[in-house]
Amino acid sequence: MGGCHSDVRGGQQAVGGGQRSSGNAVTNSNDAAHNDAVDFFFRSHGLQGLFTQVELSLSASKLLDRDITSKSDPMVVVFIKKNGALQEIGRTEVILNNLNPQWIEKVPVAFHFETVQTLVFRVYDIDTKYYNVPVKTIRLSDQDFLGEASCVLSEILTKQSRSLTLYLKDGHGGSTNLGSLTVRAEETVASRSVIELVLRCSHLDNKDVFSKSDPFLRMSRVVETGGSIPICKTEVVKDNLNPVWRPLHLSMQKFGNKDNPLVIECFDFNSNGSHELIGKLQKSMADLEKLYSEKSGANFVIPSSSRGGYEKALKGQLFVDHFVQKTQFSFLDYISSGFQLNFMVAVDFTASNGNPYNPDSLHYIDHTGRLNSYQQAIIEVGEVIQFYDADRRFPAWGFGARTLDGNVSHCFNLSEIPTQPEVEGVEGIMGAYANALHNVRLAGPTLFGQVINKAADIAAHSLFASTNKYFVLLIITDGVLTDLQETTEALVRASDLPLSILIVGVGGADFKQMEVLDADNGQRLESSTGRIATRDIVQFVSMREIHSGETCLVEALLEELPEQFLSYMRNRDIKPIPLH
Amino acid sequence: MASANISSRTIEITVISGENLQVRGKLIKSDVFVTVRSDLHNKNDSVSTKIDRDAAGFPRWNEKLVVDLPMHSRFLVVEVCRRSSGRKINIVATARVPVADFIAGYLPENHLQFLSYRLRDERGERNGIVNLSVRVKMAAGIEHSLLQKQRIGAPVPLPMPQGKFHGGGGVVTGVPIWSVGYRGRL
Repeated sequence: MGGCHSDVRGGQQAVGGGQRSSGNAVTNSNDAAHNDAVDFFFRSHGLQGLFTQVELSLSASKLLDRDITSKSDPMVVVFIKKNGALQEIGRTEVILNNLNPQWIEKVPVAFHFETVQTLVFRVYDIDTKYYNVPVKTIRLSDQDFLGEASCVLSEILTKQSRSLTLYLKDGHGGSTNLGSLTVRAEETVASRSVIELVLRCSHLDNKDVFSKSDPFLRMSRVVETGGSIPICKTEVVKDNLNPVWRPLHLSMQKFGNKDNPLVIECFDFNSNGSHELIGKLQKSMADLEKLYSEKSGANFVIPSSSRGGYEKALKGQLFVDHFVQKTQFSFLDYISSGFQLNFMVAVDFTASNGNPYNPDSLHYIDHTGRLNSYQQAIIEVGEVIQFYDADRRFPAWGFGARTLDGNVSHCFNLSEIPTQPEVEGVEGIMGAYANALHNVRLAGPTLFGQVINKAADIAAHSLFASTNKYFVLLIITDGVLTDLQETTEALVRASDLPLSILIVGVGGADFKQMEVLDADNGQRLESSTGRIATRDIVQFVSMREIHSGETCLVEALLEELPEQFLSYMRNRDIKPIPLH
Repeated sequence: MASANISSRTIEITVISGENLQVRGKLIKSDVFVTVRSDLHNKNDSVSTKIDRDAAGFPRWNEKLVVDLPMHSRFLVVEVCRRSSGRKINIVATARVPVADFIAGYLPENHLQFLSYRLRDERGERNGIVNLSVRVKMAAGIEHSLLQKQRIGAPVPLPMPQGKFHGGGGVVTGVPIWSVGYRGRL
């Protein structure tokens, strides 16, 4: 909706050149999608090459104009069809006042050769008041719908150009012209290389009448099949003909390789969306590195309108003030070099699970050997975590039950030996669980605080000895929390420790509270004292969804863990131990 | 030797960034900086970051400040300030960071901690978030006198910058770290 000047700030921010997990900020991007923890699990179980990771670049033309005083502010949301239902897999950024947008944020998707993967693309006009908020948090129902299109992923990948143009429809079979959407798919190159660079310009042309230009840069990668894909844009520097932009962090995945030509365009920001080109030039990363080492500038050119196809050289120059190539290590780099994941298990023994002697209880003890919901979860989840655990020894606790001494405990050892919380392997957890079920009486309330604090304690204490351990607390619960605030406090305190918390929900309860704790909606957890969670350390998985086939267990469990692990290590600049 | 001064300790605080900072319901456009001081100090003893000119409500400073923290100080006062056109400086929002959040011995000293806090304006209304990292500088000698009553934890072979141990001359290899009843804190 634009119009009012103070509202256009959203369009002036940098996109695509940010540093992943820099500091504590909640990141906006879809960068995290390539999950090598999942790949590795499958590969080591003989399921190699089941899928390839691809990323989708999106652009549109002739979108419908929904705004009265200005043009639409479009964003695309990509869904995948699973069992008839749509599951969101990613969002682009919002582009301001533009009916022919070329989005920078890519949407990653795993291409499974053997299945038909139907993708649905929905384009929305985002309301002004949502600028500057993480796109993940935008409620789609509050936005104007600009149309949708659908295709099968393999349709794009089998095209020689790897791109497909689709006409947007209104979803009700109407035939108005809503414009078109072009989807390009490219295989993701896994790469550890990241280039950090600072760009500045001098003597740019002045495009504004009453003040100086408000320049920003856009970088696009030239692709073999023709055209170019935008990979990042800088923030807008206002009223300045010699701007210096903030550092850009570009992964090899974004720019291809160091010799791949990049188009660098400098624009004068205009709040009505028609940014005026100040000048452009084409350089590869290798060229930029040379500019840096020689401390020389490259002149911008501008296509001349009068002398057809001729380019006019400008006085304005681009300089590279800083150029460093860094290695960004992957989750597997850490794990294979001796970093240890240590799992801990906590089982919910509260009365809301139902009397264990009653067949519809989640804790039902069946003497025929049929597994109850908790046992099923322990076995299925255990197989995955055991694979990544360094020594297969798990501290195992229960909570919310009356123990032998008659008091309700919110953290007791499952094993028979009171001084020894650790059990060995999945069998160990199963044995200790069955044993505890006979020895305790289910009670309540459901409090996660104590087990989280216990796990935090262990994680914090490990730091006195070494920094190469990372802990994961697995909480298996029916999901009805009594004290959300206490749990939140414990999570906020634990958020800066080498610890992640995996909550596995069993049974048919409503898991709304768990979704709050798993801060995926972009809302960071806040304690009553005003401390805010440094990072999201919670991941919630519902066994009900797993069993109904909506998600794959391994993918669901390991979805956020590698990113949580890496955010901890990278923030502290902890590197994998070099192999000798 | 620096350890003679047991009335304060040094902390390194990196002011990373701010999020969603507003003035009168609108994101702050520019010219914001952060000051940090202990609650026992007055404003003149604050240390400040440079001004971020193109904040757009989400400023980034990434600037390391060194703060002298008196031993019985309970809070760090973190203020986000704005320089308006008439060079006047207004406080936009404040966070009081409990010293106990990073110094209670729950973690090894010298461990880099990332902490985020809710900022509030003068009326106590929420106004954004500030992201910090904090490192308590080890000063050999200080802890002996102060923490002698507390339980001694495991010695730690953490790599310590040599220069920080004034006059220690490399004697300190496994620096003892004290865990100050962290169980009680949780």
